[in-house]
Amino acid sequence: MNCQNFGSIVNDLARNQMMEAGAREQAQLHSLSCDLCAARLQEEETLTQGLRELTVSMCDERASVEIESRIAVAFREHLAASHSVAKASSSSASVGLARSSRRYWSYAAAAAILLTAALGLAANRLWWATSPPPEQVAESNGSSTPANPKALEKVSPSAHPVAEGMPVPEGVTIKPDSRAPRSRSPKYASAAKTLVATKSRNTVTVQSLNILAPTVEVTTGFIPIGYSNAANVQEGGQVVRLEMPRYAMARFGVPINEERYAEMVKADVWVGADGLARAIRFVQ
Amino acid sequence: MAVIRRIGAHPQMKQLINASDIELLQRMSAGDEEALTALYRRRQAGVYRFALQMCGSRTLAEDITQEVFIILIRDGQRFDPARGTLSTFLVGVARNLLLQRLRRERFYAPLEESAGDEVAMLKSLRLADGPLEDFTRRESIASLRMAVLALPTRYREVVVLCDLQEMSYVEAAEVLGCAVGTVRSRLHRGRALLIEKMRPVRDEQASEAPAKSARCFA
Repeated sequence: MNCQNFGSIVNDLARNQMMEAGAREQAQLHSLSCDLCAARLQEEETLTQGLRELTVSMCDERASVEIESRIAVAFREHLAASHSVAKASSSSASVGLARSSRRYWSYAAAAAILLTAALGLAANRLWWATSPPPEQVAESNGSSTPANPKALEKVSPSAHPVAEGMPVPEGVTIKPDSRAPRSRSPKYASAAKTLVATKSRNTVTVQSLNILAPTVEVTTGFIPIGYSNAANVQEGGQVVRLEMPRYAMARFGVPINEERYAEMVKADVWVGADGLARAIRFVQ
Repeated sequence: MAVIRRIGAHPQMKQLINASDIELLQRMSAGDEEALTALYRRRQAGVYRFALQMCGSRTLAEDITQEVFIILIRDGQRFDPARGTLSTFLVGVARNLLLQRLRRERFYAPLEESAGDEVAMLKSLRLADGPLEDFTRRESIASLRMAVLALPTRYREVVVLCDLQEMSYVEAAEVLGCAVGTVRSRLHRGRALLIEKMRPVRDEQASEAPAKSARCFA
């Protein structure tokens, strides 16, 4: 063993720490042969002895009794605080539970209302989509709702040739269906009507138009009926749709195909406030 | 001893004295004040001595001891038995608190309290043999204590733990949170510094000793 190796273990040697028996023996032999290492070992052993005496001298050192009483007080305060915190947390938990329960029920009620409304709307639409065309006999003096003013503005009697002396067919009165849904835009205002018409004693074909399917329609302009004038047109009224035999178009000066003479054609009739037809247009 | 004898008479306290640190800690966490008392009486001396040997102030050492056990009361669940014993845990907490306090108060000059502590320390040293030997011995121990206190903190704490608290390298490493090799190298360096500090004192004592004895025998 050389001095460097001795220096690495001299601490453990002086402190009587556990080490390999061979290393300890070699270190002791080295200290016998090397004066410098022997002096160093002596210093280390002296220091170890002094430190042990210092330890022994302080072995009776203890904290004062006051510290123990302070710690006991702190322990009791901690226990009380933890109990109060536990109570507060439990009460706050119950309050929070009640709040969350109330919130839950309000959400549930709102969801139920929304669900009911959605189901009602869906059922309504389904009913309208699947219900057969109502056939009703219109009363001769049925009430009518005023038409959309914008739709009235579109009526232009001078845009088409006036067929003077062309009255509405006799016995034909027009009444809008009260169940007809309202159109959402003036474009489909006329299509939003379900028309019930009677011709003499026979029921004219009545059709319920689906306003939700915006089909492309080609229409003629409104053709004023003989006894109407501009002042009557401004009074307001109602546009209703009906079907009539194609040959009726000839009465208004519209050319017709003779081969389809007996077929039905759609027509929008503008009915004045007095219940009389003011103008008509044909729809394809 | 009187306290131990008194509490030993109570069967429950006798049971607490025989309980392990972990059991006492569990009972203390459950609200058992007697378990806290037993644990404090068992471990406070080691914590207090470590703090005293590290800082040299009784007042500060008592403060640190109190704070350590208050932390144990509040955050006792932080102790993990898998990482070491409760003793090393407490000393580790004391060390952290002490370093914080020393860092905070490094700009303050010590008051007379330190001188009073020194006198008390000298008085506490037990007498042995004759008065002259006692005086020499007490003086050398006091100078050694001052040398320990004058060490840099990193070396002082290792010397205190391994030599004064007689912990193993592994326990000291647990307290300090470092490797065992680091403990060994720091101890080696710390002891070398102590020898350097003590050498002039020893030389001075060696040179003064014959004169003193000459005066005594004159």
